[in-house]
Order: sequence, then structure tokens, then C-alpha cells
Amino acid sequence: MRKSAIACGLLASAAFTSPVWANADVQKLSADPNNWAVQSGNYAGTRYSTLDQINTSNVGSLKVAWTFSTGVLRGHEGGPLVIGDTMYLHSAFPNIVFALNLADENKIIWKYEPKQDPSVIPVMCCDTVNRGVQYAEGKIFLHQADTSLVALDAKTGKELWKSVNADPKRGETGTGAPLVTKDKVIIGVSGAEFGVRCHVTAYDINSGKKVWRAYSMGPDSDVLLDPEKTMSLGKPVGKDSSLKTWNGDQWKIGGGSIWGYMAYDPELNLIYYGTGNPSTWNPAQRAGPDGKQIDQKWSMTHFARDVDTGVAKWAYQMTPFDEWDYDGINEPILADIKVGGADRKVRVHFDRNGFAYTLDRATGELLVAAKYDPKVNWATEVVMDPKSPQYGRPQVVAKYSTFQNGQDVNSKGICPAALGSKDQQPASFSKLTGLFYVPTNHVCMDYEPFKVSYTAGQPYVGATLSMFPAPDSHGGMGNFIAWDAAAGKIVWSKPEQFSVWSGALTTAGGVAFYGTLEGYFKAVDQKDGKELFKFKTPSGIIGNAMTYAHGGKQYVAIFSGVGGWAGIGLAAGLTNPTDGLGAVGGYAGLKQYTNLGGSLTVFSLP
Amino acid sequence: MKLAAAVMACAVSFAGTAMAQQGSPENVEVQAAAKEAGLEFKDSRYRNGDDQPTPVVTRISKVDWATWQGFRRYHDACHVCHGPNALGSTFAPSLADSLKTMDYETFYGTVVGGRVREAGGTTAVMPAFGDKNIMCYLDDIYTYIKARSLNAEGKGGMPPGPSEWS
Ligand code: HEC
Repeated sequence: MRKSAIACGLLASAAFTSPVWANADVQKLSADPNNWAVQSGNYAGTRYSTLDQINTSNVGSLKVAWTFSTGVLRGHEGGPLVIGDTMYLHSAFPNIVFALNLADENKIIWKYEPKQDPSVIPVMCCDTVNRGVQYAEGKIFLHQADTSLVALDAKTGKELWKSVNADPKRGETGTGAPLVTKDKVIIGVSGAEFGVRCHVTAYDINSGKKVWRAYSMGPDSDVLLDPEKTMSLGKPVGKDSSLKTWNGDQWKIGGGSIWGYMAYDPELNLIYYGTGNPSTWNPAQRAGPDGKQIDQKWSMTHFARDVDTGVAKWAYQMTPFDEWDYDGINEPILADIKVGGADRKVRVHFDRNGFAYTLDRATGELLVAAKYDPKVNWATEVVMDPKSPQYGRPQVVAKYSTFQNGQDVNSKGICPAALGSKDQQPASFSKLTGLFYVPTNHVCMDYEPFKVSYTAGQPYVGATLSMFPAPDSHGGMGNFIAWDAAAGKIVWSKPEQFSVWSGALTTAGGVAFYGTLEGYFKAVDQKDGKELFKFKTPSGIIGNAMTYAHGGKQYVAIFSGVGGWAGIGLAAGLTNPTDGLGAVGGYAGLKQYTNLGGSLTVFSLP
Repeated sequence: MKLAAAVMACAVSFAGTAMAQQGSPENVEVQAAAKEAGLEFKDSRYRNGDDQPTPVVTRISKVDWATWQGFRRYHDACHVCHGPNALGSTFAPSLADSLKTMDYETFYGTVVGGRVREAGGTTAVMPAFGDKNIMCYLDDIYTYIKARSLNAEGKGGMPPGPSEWS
């Protein structure tokens, strides 16, 4: 049954694809450093540019070249694309898309404003952000808040087709950027805080027809697993690997949202992404029939899937039986580096749970798992010995186990907080230094789970938490770090007052760029983190730094527009744990620094 | 409006609720503070002369059970928009400020009925809540936010929590 379904998928895609696949188009466009043709810079997700006109010696004299307001007040994540003379950029809900003419005063060529039912607004956990549009073969793809996937004519903004991916009435929403590979556009869905069983779905770029869908949990035929061929930590996953790890039919409201940036390896024909937390946040309600913890596969998992069929090549679960809301959605970055003296094709990601994972991207072999914030305390280590029954599993510290401490008990001083050592803000891999540049959070929490009941379309959370800056540290809530993914070591770490919630950019000019929640756009030296430039943009930054060149001149640009989970969690300032819950005032609130409003600021040398 | 909550069968048997219902005494300092403020313990919570839920906060920030329960439920259901400690966010207003002037009925009506408002090209939506995770604890949530509104700025607005009660 399952096999034949996959065979059909293959046939269908073989029959209807044009000889030139979108990936060839996008690969060609993103190989030209003048463009920024993919949200993450390229399919590997490195957010690295070979442009070097702006470099460590002159970046200090950057000036604002031009600015653009989206007219929308909500949090602005993601960033613009540039292809030739055109810039494409989006806004937070209502998800307006603009095409700007870089060759003619950055004038608006077209504007597309979808009509969406505002009832989707309150079901989008934590602000109405959107992580950006994508481009391929003359089309712009927009993944709307209400889960509609729309293809627009890149020249005119005309709607070419629209497919509805899921149902906001059940708490299903869209915030993630699509990934366009070959003849498919792939999107996830959010809703783990509403008990949604989440999925990724591939649509045909020309017709908008659904090609395959892979759920995060459920029967093998839903998760698109091959019991013999899908591997996890060197072994086949076996039959019913997901169903066996849930109590009864709880998998049906299992969560596992997908909203982070995805990556693609054209040679291996694999796409990479991660899944989020199991619903609810109260682990006691998810325990196995024997009252013990149970893995809840494949929540909190990084997948590699075949583009054509969606079938998983491998899966690795970072946090079995989540007890802290450590969504595993953070973006995988593909790099070719030396690990243990050998050349390896790896994919690296900085998990919410505070560990950075380096895996062989062809096989899913676990190469490195190490803490990228020394304050991470909920687990001591990830077991690296393949012979151990604990292989690949984090070793949870009993004191910080919200499950072992039990329902209605406040587990204190857990690091990181639920927002993770890093959230959606994508890191960058610099080909220049071979290091990763990572925007991080330095925040801890108290967490108290309690019983909740499930009602479709209503929040299904089941825990209360309070957050505070990592104790006994620099007092700030963030760091911008350089990371060696082969050694599993921090190379340098630059403290920040607030969580760094902005995507990083690295360039061949030796510079790393990122934004801060106060609204500073910063340039630092990739070598040592020395600050070379900063500029206060109109609002706090949760967007991603990008670069392009036009008319022989290099530009760097970033969205400002405070909001997102960071804007919600940090607006009024965090508490000092020793003062008791809610004793506010010890730490500065974001609202003292910045105000709402989405706009793009573009910089260049004078 | 109170009827709605009652009809919903809120017997999600809860250690704390059970404790309060059995008339188990609150922390002695809380009892003393309530007495000093002239509050009466009725239907599982302290109430003022108008029979409205009212928080009790001692000088060293201990609170009554309902306020504590409200703290937990607020940070389950409301803080994802209204921010930690009811102090507001980039997305939704500070309820601690709202309750400085908003009365109990308006508060209750806003949560049950929701609200949609257009401002500066941005639609603000306060969802209408109806399920038991919220309705069964709305009086608790009100009590907690009221406590925050009475002491939103300075220290000592909220307790270390029942696990640390002596
Ligand atoms: C999905 C986001 C969201 C959630 C969750 C939410 N609110 Fe709101 N709420 C809003 C927004 C946005 C407004 C402001 C609406 C406006 O501007 O008119 C608001 C307004 C209110 C107001 C009116 C404030 C005033 O000063 O007029 C009250 C009272 C309120 N909310 C209570 C609650 C309570 C209690 C909860 C938890 C049970 C809650 N809200 C959960 C988004 C939310």
C-alpha cells in the first residue's frame, strides 16, 4: 500500500517535470553573488556571500543608502530576495509582497496583498510573523499565515495559483518560508500549541497540486518512513517507529510543527528540516501506558527526505520525550568540513535544547553534539558511543526534569528557557573561516507543568514558565558566537544585552552581520568578534541580514520591526529569579529601547 | 456570565482547588493580610464587598491560592500575547495597566467575547475564549492580574509560590 503510493509519486513527478528544473534555475541565480536568490542565501543555507567590496577595513564607514517601510506594525522576520534589478520583500500579516525596482529609484513595481480572515491572527502563537518569500522560474512563492500557498508571477505580481495547505480553525497556521527544489515547493505547518499533527507538504510549482505529504508522527505511511531503509543512528527505524512511541492515539494531536528554514543538497537529492515539540507542554499527560517517559517520535527530530518521494532517508531525534518545549525546528546548514581529520559532508544545526549537532548529511551519522552555551544544564551530554543503549540520547539531569519532578511542581533554574539557546534566527557558515556564526539566547527558566484538556482550535499548552537572564553570567540575555562544528567548541562569544533574534550573514570581506532587539545593525570581525560598525535602525531587529550588489556596488540590508516571540517575551523586561516571580525592574525591557514598525534599511559604502 | 463557567463542569479535580474548597486554611500570613483588608473567603476565593474576586498579597509577597493559580494559568494562556507578568508586549497591551481602570465585568466580557480592532493598518485581535482551560480559571486569572495592577512597577508584585510556603 505504502510502497505503491510512493511509486505513484515518482511517476507523477517524472511525467510532469520540464527538463529544466527549478533547482537548476535557483542554483544558477544563487551562484551569482550579485543576487540573493534564496532566503538563506543558497540551498545549503550558509547565508554566506562571496562579495567583498564591504570588508573589515571599510565596514566602519557604512552609510544608509535607502530605506523602505512595509506599513505593517507586527514583527518582521526573514528578509528580501534580490534577483537582477528586482527586490522582493514581504511583510508580517497580512503578508503583503512588494517588488521593487533597484534600477529605478527602488520604485514599487507591484504590490500583492492577500485577503486573509483575521481570525487566523490569534491562533498564530506569538505574533504574526512570516519568514519570507522564495523565487523560482519566474514565480514568487508566498506561504500565508492562513496556510495558503500562493504562486505569483514575479514580473507582474499576478496570482498564478493558490493551494490551501491546512485549516486555521484547528489552530493550523503558516509562518515558515517555503523551500523550492526541482519542480516542487515545500512548506510546513505550525500548531503544536493547539494539538495539531503537523506535516511538510510538497506542491508542484506549476500547478499547485499536492505531490506528497509527510506527517511528523503517525503510521509509517503518513510519516513516509521505509521501515527497512529509513535509518536512525545507523539502524533501520523498523515498523511503526512512531506509533510505538506514543500512548494510544495521542499521536493524532501530537504537534511536531515545522516552521524553520529548510536546506537542500542537489547531489544527494535530499531536503533537510526539523520538527517541533510534542503537544502538550505537560509531559505527564504524554507518558506511556506504564507511566514512564516514551519517545514521541518523530517530534523534535531532524529529517533528511528524498525530494521526489518525500520518503525519509534518515531521522535523528534530538530530544526524546520533550519536557521543556525545546522545538527541534532550527535550520540545518550544509557544509563540507574536516571532522576528525576526514573530509565530511555534514549538516550542522544549533538546537533549541542548547546542543549543536554535526551529522553526516548522507547517512545521518552523529559526529558531534556539544553545548554551544556553557550555561546549558538540563542534560550533561549526548552519548556518542554507538554501543551504548543511550547512543545519541541526551542525559537528562533529574533536578531539571519537569517530568520527574512532576505535575504542579515548579522546576527551577533550567537552562536554556523554552525559547531555546537559539530560536528561528538562522546562523551563518563562513567559507572564509570554516566557522559558524550563531545568534543565541542566554536565558533560563522555571517551568511548571499542569493538566490541560484538548479542544480543537483552542490552545493546548499545559505549563507555566518564567524566564530570566542566565544567572552568574554577564547579565545579558544573548550572545553572538563563533562555533567550530568539527571540534564542538565556541571560538569566541560576544555578549549582548538582549537575545540575538536576527539571522546572521557572513561575507568574503571577513565581516559577520546581525541585528539586535534594541534595533542595532552590527558588523563584527569574523576572526575575533570585534565590533566594527553599528547603526540604530527604526525598530528592534528580528529579521535576517542579507547582501547583494547592484550597478557594481555592494549593499547589505536588514528588516527591522520588533515582535515575534522575542517581542512578546522581552518587551517589559525579565524578572530576577532571586526576587521571586514577577518582581520586575531588575532588567531592562525592550519597550524602553524601541517601538513597532516594519521597515528595511539598506547600507552601502559612501 | 459566571454561569458559563459553572455550566462547564470545571471539576478538573485539581490539588489546589480541592484544597481551597475543603476550606483548608490559606497560609497564615495571607489570612492575616486578608483580614486586615476586610476580605471574605467565599466560593473558593477571597472577595471584596462587591463579591468580586480580590487578591491578597502580603508584605513579603505571599499570595492567596487563587492568585497563585491565576499566575500559572495566565502564563499558560495569556502570556504568549500579553507578555510575562501581565506587563504587555509588542503584540498586546499590558493587562496590569488595563485593570487599573477596567472593572471585573468588562474584563470578563472581553475574554468571553473577544475583540477585533483596526489600528494604523494593523488588525489587533483579542480571541474569544470558551474552553475549560481558561473559563474554569478566569476568576483566578483576574485575581492575579488585579494583583499585578496594584503593584505593577515595583518589586514584590508576585509570590515565590506555594511550593515555598512555610
Ligand atoms: C492571541 C493573542 C492573545 C491572547 C492569547 C490573549 N489576548 Fe487578550 N488581547 C489581545 C490583543 C491583541 C488585545 C488588544 C485588542 C485591541 O487592541 O483592541 C487584547 C486585549 C485584551 C483585553 C482588553 C484590554 C484593554 O485594556 O482594553 C483583556 C482584558 C484581555 N485581552 C484579556 C486576556 C486574557 C485574560 C487572556 C488569557 C486568558 C488573553 N487576553 C489572551 C490578544 C490576546
